[in-house]
Amino acid sequence: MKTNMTAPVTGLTMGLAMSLTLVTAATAFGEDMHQHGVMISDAWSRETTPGARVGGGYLTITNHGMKDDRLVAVAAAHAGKVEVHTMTMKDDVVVMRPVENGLTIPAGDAVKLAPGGEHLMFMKLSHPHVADEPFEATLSFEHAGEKVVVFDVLSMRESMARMVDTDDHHDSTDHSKEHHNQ
Amino acid sequence: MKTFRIILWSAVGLAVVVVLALFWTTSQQRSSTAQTGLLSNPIPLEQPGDGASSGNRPMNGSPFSLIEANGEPITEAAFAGRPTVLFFGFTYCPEICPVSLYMLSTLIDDLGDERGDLQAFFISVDPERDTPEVVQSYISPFAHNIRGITGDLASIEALAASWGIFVEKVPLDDGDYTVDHGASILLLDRQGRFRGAFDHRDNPVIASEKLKLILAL
Ligand SMILES: [Cu+2]
Repeated sequence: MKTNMTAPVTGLTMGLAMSLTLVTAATAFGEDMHQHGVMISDAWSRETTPGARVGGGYLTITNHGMKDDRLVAVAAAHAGKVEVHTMTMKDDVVVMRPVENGLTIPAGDAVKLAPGGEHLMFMKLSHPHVADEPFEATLSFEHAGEKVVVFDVLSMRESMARMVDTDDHHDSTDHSKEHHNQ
Repeated sequence: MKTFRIILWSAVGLAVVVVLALFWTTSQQRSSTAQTGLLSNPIPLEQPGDGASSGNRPMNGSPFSLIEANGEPITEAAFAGRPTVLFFGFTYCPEICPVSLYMLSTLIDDLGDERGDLQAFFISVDPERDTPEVVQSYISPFAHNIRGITGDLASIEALAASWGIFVEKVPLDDGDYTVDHGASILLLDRQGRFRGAFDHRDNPVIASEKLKLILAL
């Protein structure tokens, strides 16, 4: 949340109002507010083919708290290892890397893991991701603690539609391939 | 105020002219490229920077001796005489590879009778982990359209390089590794020559038109 510099009065008023709201909320909920600062939404994965060693997971993490938080670990019963990965396209080359030292979720902000960018990488799968068979994963945050998240599993077809929604696709008049994630 | 308005409207007018001119030039280029593609000159179907990066891609790949996912040996002879689609990837790829395979297989399904003798191959860039069995099971949902290839790493790297496909094994901190790889889907004519490319980010309608062009060659 940034204060609009060109409207200092409005900005100040809004800022004051927000601080008041936050103070009230913090007072009312106390420790509770702190605990539930992180909210997960829109968690999904795509079905994996039988031989797939890995599956991708996507979700939005919103930090309603007043300090930055960090996703430090993810665990799932069907995956021997789960990591947060970045994925970028450099021209036509796919580059995927683990995110080291956890994924920061800035206070008052949301981080969206979506196709074409960051994802949870479920590795060493003992069970494939099957369409319409949701699975659970436990996300551990530095401050917010553990959150059990249910991931919907979409069929390939549904996941393609979801990718169009998130603007991962482009027509070939778009040459700015390196800026797909946003 | 009046002067300001004149300047503003001139700027708007100029912008419109520029946009129209750009649009016209682009569409001219596009139709002329498509025209060239239909002739039997070995000229790539697209301009550099158009869709999947195909600029400066070699016209011919090198000979190879690898293993098909069904366990049989396979060489460059398999590409001759039929329009052929090549895609390099690996089974530790959670998004681009399955999405590309799904897109390609769906495009081929959608061709219906127009499919003719089109063939497609998924070539593993991680043959150390992707044994023929693993590849076969990975592509199983698409096996009616796509065949798998694996083999030894050096031969795969040489084959990929000969088609201008970047492949690099990258060690990770935990002792594991990943493979950075080109994700372009290559289109070869019946003579095994490179004629165009697309990738998973391309509009499926345009990708489908490109597939039809190599069928028409
Ligand atoms: Cu990954």
